[in-house]
Amino acid sequence: MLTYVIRRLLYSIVVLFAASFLTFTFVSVSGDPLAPLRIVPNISPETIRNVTEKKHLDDPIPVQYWYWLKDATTNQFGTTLLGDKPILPDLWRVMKNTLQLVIVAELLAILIAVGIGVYSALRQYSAFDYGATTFSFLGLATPVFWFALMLQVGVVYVYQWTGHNIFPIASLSSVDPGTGISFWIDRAHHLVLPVLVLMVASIATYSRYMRASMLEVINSDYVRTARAKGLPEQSVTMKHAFRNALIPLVTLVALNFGALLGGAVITETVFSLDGMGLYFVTSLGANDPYPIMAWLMITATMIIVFNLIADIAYGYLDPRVRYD
Amino acid sequence: MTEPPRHDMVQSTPQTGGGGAVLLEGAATAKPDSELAYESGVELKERSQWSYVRMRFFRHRLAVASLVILILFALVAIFAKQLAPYSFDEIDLSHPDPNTGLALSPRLENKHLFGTDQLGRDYLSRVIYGIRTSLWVAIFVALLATAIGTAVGALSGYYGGKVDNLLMRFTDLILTLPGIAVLLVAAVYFGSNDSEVSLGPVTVTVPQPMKIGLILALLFWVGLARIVRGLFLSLREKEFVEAAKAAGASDMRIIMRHILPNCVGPIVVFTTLIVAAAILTEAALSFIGYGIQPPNAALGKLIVDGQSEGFTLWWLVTFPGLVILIIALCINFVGDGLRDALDPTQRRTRA
Amino acid sequence: MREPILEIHDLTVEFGTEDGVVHAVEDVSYDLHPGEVLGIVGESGSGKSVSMLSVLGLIPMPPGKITAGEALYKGQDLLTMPAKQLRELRGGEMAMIFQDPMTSLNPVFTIGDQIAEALTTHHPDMKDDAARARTIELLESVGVPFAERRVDQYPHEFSGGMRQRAMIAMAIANDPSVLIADEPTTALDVTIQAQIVEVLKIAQEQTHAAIVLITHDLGLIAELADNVVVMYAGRVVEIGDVFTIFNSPRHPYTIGLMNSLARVDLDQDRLEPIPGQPPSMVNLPPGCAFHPRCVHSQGRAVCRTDVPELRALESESEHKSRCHFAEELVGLRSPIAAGAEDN
Repeated sequence: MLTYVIRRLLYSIVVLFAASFLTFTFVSVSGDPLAPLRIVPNISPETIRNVTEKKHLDDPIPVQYWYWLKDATTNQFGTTLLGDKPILPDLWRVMKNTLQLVIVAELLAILIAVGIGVYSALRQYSAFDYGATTFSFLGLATPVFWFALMLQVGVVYVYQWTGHNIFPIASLSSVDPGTGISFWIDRAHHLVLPVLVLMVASIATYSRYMRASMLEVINSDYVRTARAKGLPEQSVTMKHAFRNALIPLVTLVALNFGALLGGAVITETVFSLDGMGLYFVTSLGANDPYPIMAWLMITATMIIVFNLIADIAYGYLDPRVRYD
Repeated sequence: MTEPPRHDMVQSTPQTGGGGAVLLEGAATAKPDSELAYESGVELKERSQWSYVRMRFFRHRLAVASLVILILFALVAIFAKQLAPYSFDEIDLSHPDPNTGLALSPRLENKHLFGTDQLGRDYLSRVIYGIRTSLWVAIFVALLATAIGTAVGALSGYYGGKVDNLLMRFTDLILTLPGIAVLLVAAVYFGSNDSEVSLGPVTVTVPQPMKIGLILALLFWVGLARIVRGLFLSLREKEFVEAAKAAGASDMRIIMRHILPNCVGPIVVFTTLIVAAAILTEAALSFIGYGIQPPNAALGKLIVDGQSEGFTLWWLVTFPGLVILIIALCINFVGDGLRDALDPTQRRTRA
Repeated sequence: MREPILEIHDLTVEFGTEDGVVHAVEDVSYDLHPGEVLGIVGESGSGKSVSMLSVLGLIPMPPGKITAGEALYKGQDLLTMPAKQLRELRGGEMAMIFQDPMTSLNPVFTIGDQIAEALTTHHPDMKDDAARARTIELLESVGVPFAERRVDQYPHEFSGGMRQRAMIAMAIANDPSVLIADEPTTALDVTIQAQIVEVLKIAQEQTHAAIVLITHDLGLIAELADNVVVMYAGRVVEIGDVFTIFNSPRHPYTIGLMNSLARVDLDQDRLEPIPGQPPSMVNLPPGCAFHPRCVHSQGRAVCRTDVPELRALESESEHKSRCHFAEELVGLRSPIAAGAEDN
């Protein structure tokens, strides 16, 4: 098992390098990071030349990549192109915010989805089942950003009619959130709508999977054997069926993590949350490769780690798949 | 199809109802000797496999209804010019509203079913043109992604070994970065304007929406490749492949003529999913601003344009989004119905 | 004649499917006596498994429905018994062995766990180490080598034959009075089949249980069964003791079965299959379900219009056949040479 993990990690590092190089090339070649600078009136050509030299913008791509690599590993991902702002503190800050959002949304989604999926499977073709299936389909078909917008519109209309601002529709925190508990309560209040948005797509997908998996397991031969042994129905369902049905979901959840970060991009944009998604979009707009690369590297690493966790968890849960 | 019985087993004849099998209809009139009993007046009606699939598909009312709706949307897209009451950019200055200026809310009596936007442009027309762009880009994405994914998956699954390794490592590369991020990067740097590509003497203009479609396709083929690869890995071990090889068929022939037709079902289902995903993703890209650019219409762009006023001019945001929702929903229903129709061995788990 | 331990009377089970109502089991009656091996023979779809599964309550009740009949175990009707009571019998006094041990065992639990579970479910006071010790004993008794080690292994680490032995061990764990084996050898290689037959014999010796042996393998029937029930299209078409059924079958289907076997003791040029196809279970032929394929019917109208009764044949009350013209069907089976067995 250990050798497997090590092998995977080594391989992942190679993949990371390859991906980073490709992306870096792409980003560097396609955009002009000095564009905002050039349009400033009265900017002297010397300033431009200075920046160009300092940031090695005239060097061939592999050399630029090398500089980035050095900066990334030794200097905490370096600094932004224009303004020399250190990247890591910013990145760290936005990462914490996004993780709050994503982790809460995901945990809630898993709990709810598993419940819905199992119950739908046990009561197949019931009203609940049809309702849950409809909800799944709707959830998967709804554009994330549109749903977020609709929620905002809804809140505004409620405010117009009732004068109550039930949920904040932007930002992570109010202007003066206080400290300690009141800070966190305020934060939670602000996160309600974004979490809701992120949860919908996840619940739709996971509950579908859980239902299908549970149905397959419920109709399997070994569940029939468990019944034939005289086990009480509850034992059959929870001990034998549920455990087996969960296994594919574990993989799905872990692998979905990458998509989650993507969804966070949209949600954060709509709700103006100071998270990784918004950071990424802003950096894109600035054509600055260093923050973009830093973002990609961190995200890619997280995805790799989660994939590895997914595989290990799978091996733990399903003895047929143990890695030697 | 009777197999010769083994000496220790009762002859077992196949159940009726297997794929492409035979239905027993009508009453029999038995006759004295065994020959005649076999050919007796039992009527056999044979149906092809595809009519079975069609039959099963049409049993799903929801899927059929969705298919009808999708066809309607397709017709709207194709005949956009004829159907849209106004052109995309036409400004209607005739009825300014005291509250909202040029923007009119949807009313049946004035000629704007979906209202107008802040500049007085008829929203129904804009949405119609948006549907057209979104649909053709999505279909383009799906076809391209399917072509690439099937090719890669087939080669990977059939040849295995080094080829498989190489291709799978390549897909791993793509999957290591979060999809939206890669898309955005590509869209920003590559897909923001039309390109001129010269193929020899001819210069072809690649319209910007098509470039977006290209980028999306380059991301979506991976899922399909995985599925096709899995299918090929298992099918390649089946006896009919061995038989074909023994008969001297070339690899390409085995792939195209023997294995691939067996994969059509799952591929078709996945392709429909790609269409839905493409529509949603393209809308998201357009929303962030890096998707389909004007002058081309895009539903996502319509939404983002209406966002600033979204709270008072609610129709600017609602209608395009609803349209996306309905299209994606219908595609999912059709895909589900297809999946059920193509694989009856799976219980009607229906989701 | 000893009192039957299990009596099934007029059992009728149907399934609602997309294509219509399937009459899986129609009017089925047979008895099981203590210590007896009762073989139930038929093709796939004949209803042989469904009849036993429904008696034990293992058929999902939508889409399945027991529309008629009773199943008396030691005098009590299993079909109307409260669920809890039925559950106590299941796996305890009435145990079942299934066809495919690979899919019938839960892949995420060890073999030991699953057998111990059978023990503790029916003996709630049994402690874990006692259960484990008994499990190892059981595995040894069915011939699993190195049982103390194997007990902690997972099903996928066992070979096919071993898995089936484990299933048998699980079934006999609670000393059942009725052991139902549903196609116990079908999923196994021929050589392993022979071993499992031996294990089944050992199981019977140990528990003195009555065994219901459901199979389409006539060789297995010949070797193990005392009495035979032949089923076709959901109905019982013939009942008798094994020698009578093999030597002088009195139903066209049974006759067809026996005559279609390849024989080592005869010089055969051609094999004689039963003509035609098994009927669609949604659309059964009117009258006798076998008549479209029946050579002996000779087109007589009653075969087409009336379902025959399951009648005792004059001389022996235990031998019954469901054919309008059973009396005519004497001597149609090629005689078995003395000493040869269909295996």
